[in-house]
Amino acid sequence: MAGVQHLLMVARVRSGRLEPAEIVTASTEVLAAEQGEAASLLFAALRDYPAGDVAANVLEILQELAHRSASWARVVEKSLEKRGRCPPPLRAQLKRLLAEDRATPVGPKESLGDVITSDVFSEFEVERASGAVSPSETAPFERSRSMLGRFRGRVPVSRELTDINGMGRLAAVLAALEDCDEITLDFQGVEHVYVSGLTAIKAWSETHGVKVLCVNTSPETDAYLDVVGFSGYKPARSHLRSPDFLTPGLENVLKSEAQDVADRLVTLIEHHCPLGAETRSGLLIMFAELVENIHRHAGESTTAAFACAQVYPKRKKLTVCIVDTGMGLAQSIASGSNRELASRLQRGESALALAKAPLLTSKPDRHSGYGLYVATELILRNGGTFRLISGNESLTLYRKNWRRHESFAPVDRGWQGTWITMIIDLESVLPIKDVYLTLPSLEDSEKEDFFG
Amino acid sequence: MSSGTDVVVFRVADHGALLVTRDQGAVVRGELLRVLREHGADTVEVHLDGVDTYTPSFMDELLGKTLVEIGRDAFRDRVRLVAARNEVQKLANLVLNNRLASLRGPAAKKR
Repeated sequence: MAGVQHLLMVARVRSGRLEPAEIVTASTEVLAAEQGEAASLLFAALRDYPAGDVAANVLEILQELAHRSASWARVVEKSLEKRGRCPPPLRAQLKRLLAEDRATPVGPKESLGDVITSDVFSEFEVERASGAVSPSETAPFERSRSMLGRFRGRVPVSRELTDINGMGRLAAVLAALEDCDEITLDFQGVEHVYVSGLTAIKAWSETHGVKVLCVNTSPETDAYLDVVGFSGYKPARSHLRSPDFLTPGLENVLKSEAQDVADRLVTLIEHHCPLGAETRSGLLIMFAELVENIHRHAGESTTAAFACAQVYPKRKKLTVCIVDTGMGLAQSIASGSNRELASRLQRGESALALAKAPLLTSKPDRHSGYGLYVATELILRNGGTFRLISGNESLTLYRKNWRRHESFAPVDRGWQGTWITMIIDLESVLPIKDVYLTLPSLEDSEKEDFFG
Repeated sequence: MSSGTDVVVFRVADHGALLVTRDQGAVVRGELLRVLREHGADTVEVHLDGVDTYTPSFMDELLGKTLVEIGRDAFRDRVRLVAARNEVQKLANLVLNNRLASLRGPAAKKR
């Protein structure tokens, strides 16, 4: 058990039996393993460590942490400040490290990815911190009927409508416009949009045969629309399209094998942002499992399924959207051959909670069902954010101050199919080894060692 | 393990470095079963090293379903698993034990 090992490290620190260099290694290991409680105890132990060079070691840890993630450095800063044991030289060093991070230049205008990132992630933090995430809130839109009897829609697009927070609102708008022959997306006043919303609109328009017109677009929006590939849309000013931050187009999930989609996405990401071996494996496994879920569970009626990724190289962030317009998780469970699962759904259990739990699958066997569980565990341990909308439910997962947050919310006129958006911290590892080593097994399974 | 038999090495890595889907697992399982059939009573040593990435789905399709097909005793008798990485061992043991539990009966609870 990693937790026990870390508590033993704490004990060794307290007894003075750990060399200063080992403290640094232990601290970073504890943090990397996301052992929040153990990390807290370790820092408490460091406070009491008798050696004179503790401050220097803590500084070393902080430098390492600040290098990996400013948010970690802030956690340590708060921890030490709370205990009133932050020596002045250390405080000065912390201030400098954090100021450097805050002052990280967002780059010139042509570096669209960084400009967008600085907006989206700060806003996202505010929204989820305030608890103001409300996927059921419907955004404004117009629906009218032409003289020929055709329905038309007009949606004033805001930046927020296309990001991870806007998923529920956008789903509700699109559901209300399903019978339209044509919708106009009005980007008036919008400079930046995000791949998640546009990818979903693309899947929705293909499924329902709705023509999409885009008006009042900025050059940046043109670039995104071009990349996402709206049929018949000819961007007039796509000069900002750059391989530095966008995948060159949508991955049509239905036309490729899961491993090929995963491989192409990861290769593209790696081209823009170097990945460690474990993070690379984590991404491959996550993408492959989620795409294979679409192949196996979305149903034959699925007409559109796309994956799109955006890398923010300077902020070390990655956004991934995987969306389909299939039967959705609830119907997949209800129509699956696992009757126990179907009856739990009938009794009112959340389809998303059932789908996320390990070892639950709509198939009759009890051996499988790790795909969504592994993906969410990877994101949580990475410090990223995971949001899933399917049917009339949304699930949001993230970690803050060492705690896991999981919230389910209703979505008015929800998403027909499954729509996942993930934000991944590329400064932190996607710890696939840890996730595998802690995978739960069936309660009644024996623990035979087949390698013995 | 049977004594006095030859050991046939089956390298999963020969089938690719990225083995993640059930379809891929089914293909490799087909090959493994063919080797088991062709080599009668010999032990087949399945080398799991050399593959960058496994998923639970692939591993279950390859090993879990092989166990179901030939039975636990034959699996233990004829298949020897080899992997250096802890997480690969854990994953393989997990899918095999889940399959064994599944074979014992559907009434048991899930976690």
